[in-house]
Amino acid sequence: MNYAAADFIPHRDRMKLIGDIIEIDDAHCVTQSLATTLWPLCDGSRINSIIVVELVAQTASAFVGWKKRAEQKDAGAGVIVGIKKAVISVPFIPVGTSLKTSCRMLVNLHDQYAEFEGEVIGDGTNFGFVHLQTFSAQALLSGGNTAVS
Amino acid sequence: MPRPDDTAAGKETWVIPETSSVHDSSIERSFFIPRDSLWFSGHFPNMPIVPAISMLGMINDTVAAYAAHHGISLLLREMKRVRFKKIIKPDSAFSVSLLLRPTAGGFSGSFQCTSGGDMVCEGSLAIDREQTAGGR
Repeated sequence: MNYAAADFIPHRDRMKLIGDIIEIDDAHCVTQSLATTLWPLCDGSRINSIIVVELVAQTASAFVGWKKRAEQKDAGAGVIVGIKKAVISVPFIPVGTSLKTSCRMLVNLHDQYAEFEGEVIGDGTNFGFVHLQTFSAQALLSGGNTAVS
Repeated sequence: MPRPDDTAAGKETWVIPETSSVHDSSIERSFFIPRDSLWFSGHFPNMPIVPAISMLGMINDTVAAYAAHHGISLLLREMKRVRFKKIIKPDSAFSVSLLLRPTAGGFSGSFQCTSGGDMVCEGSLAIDREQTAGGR
């Protein structure tokens, strides 16, 4: 069963890059997207592949949102606080490419700090791999120090 | 620090590049992220903050400016140990300081980014040199 990612993530308008959740369970999530000229980092015909960082982040956000709803917990927003490693395998994603972004949770500490790894594949090409670190936005804002989305 | 003259023409704007200072093995580049930037289109409703991917885009733009200055073509291949340390809000300045060391296939380096005098982001990267007919 597919779910609309928008039901589980806070991103909207030009900054919502993932469409449907096409696979999800308590360990991993896969979303699909269509790369368009409206995306960030687009030069008109292609998108810089560093966008894989955002695709994995949004897929991780969808995973957390879905999981917390299943557990009947509040799904507060998370923000990226670090990238342990990101590898850009192919420099650009052509506009019109249908993409699948997969991610899985590696670490979850008290629903505040988490680590995810994921990759973005489209038309038989692996565009990149990302290992992200996230933190609860609510905890960060109340702590008044580190953050970012 | 709104700058309405920069964005009043109705042109879609992500960030506004400002100054660059390029040297043999380093570059400093400054940007301004206006309130009407497309980065805030849905990020997030009622809570506009500069996305991490926007910062990575400005770092990549700084790599491109270094390459253009030196007449070469560079492609960002890898980032490691990137730390985002502070939320940035609309109408903020953002500066990238990039140090590069030549490697067999391109460069490795480190970056530090500041906004309003605060460190907001730092990390390391690897960049491939793309062979082009006009490159040197």
